[in-house]
Amino acid sequence: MKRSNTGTVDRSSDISAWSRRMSLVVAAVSAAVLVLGWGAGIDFLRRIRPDFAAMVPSTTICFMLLSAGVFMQTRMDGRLVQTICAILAGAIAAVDLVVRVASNRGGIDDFFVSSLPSGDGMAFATAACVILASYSLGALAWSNSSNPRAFQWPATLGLLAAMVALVGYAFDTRALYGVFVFTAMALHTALLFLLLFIGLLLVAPRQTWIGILIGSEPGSLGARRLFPLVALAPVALCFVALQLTDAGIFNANFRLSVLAIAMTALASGAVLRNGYLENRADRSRARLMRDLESTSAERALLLKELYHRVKNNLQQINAMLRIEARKVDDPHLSTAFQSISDRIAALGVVHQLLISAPTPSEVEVEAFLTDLCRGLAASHGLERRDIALEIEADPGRAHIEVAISMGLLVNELVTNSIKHAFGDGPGTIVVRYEERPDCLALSVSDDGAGGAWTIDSGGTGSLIIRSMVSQLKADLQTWDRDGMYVEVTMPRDINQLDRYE
Amino acid sequence: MSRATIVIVEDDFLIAEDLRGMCEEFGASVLGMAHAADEAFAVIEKAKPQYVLMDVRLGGKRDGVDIAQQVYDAMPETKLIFITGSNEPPTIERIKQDHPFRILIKPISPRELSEAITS
Repeated sequence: MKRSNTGTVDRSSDISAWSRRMSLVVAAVSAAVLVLGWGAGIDFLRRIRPDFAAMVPSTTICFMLLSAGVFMQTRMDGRLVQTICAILAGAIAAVDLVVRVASNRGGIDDFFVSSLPSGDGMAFATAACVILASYSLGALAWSNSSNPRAFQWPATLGLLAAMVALVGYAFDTRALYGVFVFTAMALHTALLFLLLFIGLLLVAPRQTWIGILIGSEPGSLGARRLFPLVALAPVALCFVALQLTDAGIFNANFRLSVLAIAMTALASGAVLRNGYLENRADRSRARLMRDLESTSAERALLLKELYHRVKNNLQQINAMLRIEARKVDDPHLSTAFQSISDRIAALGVVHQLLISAPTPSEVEVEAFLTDLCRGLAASHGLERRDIALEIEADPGRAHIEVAISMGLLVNELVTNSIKHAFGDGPGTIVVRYEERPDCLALSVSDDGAGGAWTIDSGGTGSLIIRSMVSQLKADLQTWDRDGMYVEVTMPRDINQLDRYE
Repeated sequence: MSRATIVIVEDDFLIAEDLRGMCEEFGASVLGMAHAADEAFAVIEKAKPQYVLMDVRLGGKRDGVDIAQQVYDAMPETKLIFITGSNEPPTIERIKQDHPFRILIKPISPRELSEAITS
């Protein structure tokens, strides 16, 4: 992904360079027409052929202004210059139009060029194109994030108008001059408009339809292949049809039938090709999705397998401990073995639950505490001793590491209560998990004698409790009132902390 | 009371040894141990124990519940004590169709086991 992005960025800046080159060509040619054509009187520069329309001075000035504007746009800092260029060019074209309509003269050039042949002047189409270019340039200069593409429409419209003029020259110049609006648009005016509008579109190609052509996605690839055909074939077809008609092989109306069918075939071909490409892209996308899904499923399976192995290993460690413990007669040592065995079992419960957990590294707190306490109750024979171990948990999940720490904590706290609170009598121990607005609270309370335990007792159990409280970034509070009450409050976001950075 | 006789079916050797230790601690006699589903029925049939400690997961295609069905069909008087790592309803449901004498959820304590066998 990254690489292709960089690639298109590079291509964009290459394209902007083309935009600059085109504006320089437009400026140079129009300056030459003004200075050498009108100034030095070289007629070829004014009208290419004696029977063609001329590019009048006002048009050359408009071109110079507009190309300067395009050039400034690619420099990023020329917004003001550019706006002035656009306004001036637009104003010249607008005034020319008004003068032509209001008076019967050949536009504003009539006022400045004494030797202007009658019929010469800025064509309506030329004036319209200048106005479109000015508007596009202005839109580009003041484009904002809400509508960054606005400039492309006038530029595209102008491009099409210039192309109509050019194709008209190629097919039948007289026919072109017969159309009122195009009368007197010079050949090189049309060419310069072509360059100017392409240059305009290339200033920010990503914001125009050109972006589709230069992109790296499959759609762009297909469009690049099809576009030249679709763009050029109709012109070529029409040209051939025209030649055939002129040669007397077709008559004008039959030519229309042939053209209609040819265009239909061309457009249908393009549509079908597009459909084919889209189908192919969709198939490859579907294949990719399947691969991804199966990879993801394999990962999940692997993770469950891993949890299973960890759980089995913990059970094996436990088995070895108990096998060893049976060989010792010292009750003190037996108790120590029992404690270690319980702690390992507490670790095992987390992995046991993770095997069937819907999310790969989280366990349901209530199920977790229930399984943990069931193990403790079995291990210490609580049923026989008439000690109830109750769970009250808010619904919620805990990350594997949080669950492990909580499990070791609860294991120690409950074991403490079992050992110290009740003597030989019955009692109740409550393990509570609450998701409060400001924290997560885990508490263990009993209704026993109390006072039998402090956090600073120096035993392994106390060490584990202190370690787990720190690990959970938690605070621990104890109350000794009608039994022991120990509460551990963890930060609310403890399950969201990044652990694998 | 005469000594209870037991066969242990558990694929993990260490855990099987732990179970044997537990059983012997409270005076039961372990007649045999099987570590795979394929050999389990043969061991049980030969030893004819009063109790079978049956781990549900045996690491093969057939699990403890399948073996238990076979044992029940052949020797209905055998008391089947299932040991399972999970208390998930589907597993428990399957076990319950298999005429269990007891279901113990891991981790099991010596006390639980002794209560199951001496009750």
